[in-house]
Amino acid sequence: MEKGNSINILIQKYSNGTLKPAEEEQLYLWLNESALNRDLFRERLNETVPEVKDQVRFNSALAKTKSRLFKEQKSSRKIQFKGKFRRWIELAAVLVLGILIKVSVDYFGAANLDNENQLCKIAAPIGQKSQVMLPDGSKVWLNSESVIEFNNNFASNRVVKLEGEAYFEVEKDKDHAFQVQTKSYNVVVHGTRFNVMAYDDLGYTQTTLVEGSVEIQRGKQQLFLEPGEQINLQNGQFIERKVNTDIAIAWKDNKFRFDSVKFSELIRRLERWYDVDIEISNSALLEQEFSGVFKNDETIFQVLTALKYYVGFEYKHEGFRKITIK
Amino acid sequence: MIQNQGKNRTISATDEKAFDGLFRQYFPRLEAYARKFVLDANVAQDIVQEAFISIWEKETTIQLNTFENFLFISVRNACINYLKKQVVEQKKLEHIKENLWVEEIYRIDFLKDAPLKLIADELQDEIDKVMSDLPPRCKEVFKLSREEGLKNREIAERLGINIKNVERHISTALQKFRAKFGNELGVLVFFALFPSLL
Repeated sequence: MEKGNSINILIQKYSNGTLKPAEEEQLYLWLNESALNRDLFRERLNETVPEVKDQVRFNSALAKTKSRLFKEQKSSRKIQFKGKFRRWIELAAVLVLGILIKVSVDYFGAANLDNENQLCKIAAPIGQKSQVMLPDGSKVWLNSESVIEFNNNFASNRVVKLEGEAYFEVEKDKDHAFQVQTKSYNVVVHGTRFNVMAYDDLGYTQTTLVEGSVEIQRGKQQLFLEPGEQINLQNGQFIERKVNTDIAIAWKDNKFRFDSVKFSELIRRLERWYDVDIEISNSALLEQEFSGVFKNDETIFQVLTALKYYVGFEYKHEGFRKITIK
Repeated sequence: MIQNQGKNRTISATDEKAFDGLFRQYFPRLEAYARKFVLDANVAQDIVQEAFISIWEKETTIQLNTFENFLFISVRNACINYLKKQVVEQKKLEHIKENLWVEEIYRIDFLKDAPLKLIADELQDEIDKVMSDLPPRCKEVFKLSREEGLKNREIAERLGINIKNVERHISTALQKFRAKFGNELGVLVFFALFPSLL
């Protein structure tokens, strides 16, 4: 194990371009031991993300090189057009989805006249996210491994059942309250933007209010949130705090942000986000808390490599979508 | 990013994001490789940048399984070319023989165990080529001058020829090296500094 660890460090340093002469010799000797080691070396390198010490220098090298290869794409007008065009496509996609949902609701409604409570169910599988528009025009972003359900009479009865995590932008309608039901409590609103995280395996249910106001209902208990406030229900206790709401809703913009999150939870989120199985054999890690941000275009290996140095663990790619952390 | 299983993929030369990924992946270790031989971080950086540029300018699609290979060989050749100029500029290059392990590690990484000639040997071959093209007498004079460090007058005495002829032979040899190694400015007296190559 000791040996395995130090080889990983050598490979990382090689990838960084920072091997010292003695380390070069050590790596060379190990590579020379067997063809298996050489195969392992190449495989590891593919998964290793170089750590650049001098970011400024690296970025200038990258920029210099790119300026000679991708000149035509520097025109800002073109990018602006692209941006606008893209937004239209996104909007169109949302509208199409909205129409599809409406059609399916209408269809089921018509086919089952005797059954008023026909359910419409929308799911984002593990490793993916979805964006949908509800029949009332409210928008919902569904995080990985999340499901929302609503009845076909949604227009007059705005109730959504949520498992997992979703961010809502609710259309204003004074006459019809919008209600999000989770296993632990309900969130009642009129027109607002908020995030609800209610994964079963999380141990708590969290609501973050970005704008407007929401009401939390649990049995006879009632609580009101103000913008910038977050509420957690854990072990039957409500805990309120002020937060940076950007962090709670970063996931909808494909960013992975976390603030004072336990390692165990962080890993659980990564599993959902990347659709991988991560096994942790070092239980000392589980309770440590972390904050940080990743973008969606980083691979799971890049994320783990970054964490590895910060936290001090070793990970191993065991096979298809399986990783262990020691 | 480019994953393990994606090695047989091709990417378009206009794909900026894919370029970023590859540059990030390979720049640090290739720059370190180049630096070991050229001993100058800025030169090493230029060499790696040029290697990327030359591949992207030539190809419209990049075949990922051969790309590594091309990239590494481009960097290596650029290093050798730079070292040739250094030789002409009489820079001491003893260090290039100290990188045996490094070269072996990079061979395993980039060439998948295919054979690779050491840079020191490659440079030696280049020098030998130029030397073998010299007329016999010219070669003899040049060796005495650089290898044994004899003065022109001493060479003339030993070989029993006119000192003017010694100067002419040395000048011919220098011209050949400059023509082959592409450096008009350097004064070629490298054998005193690089004797084991003879």
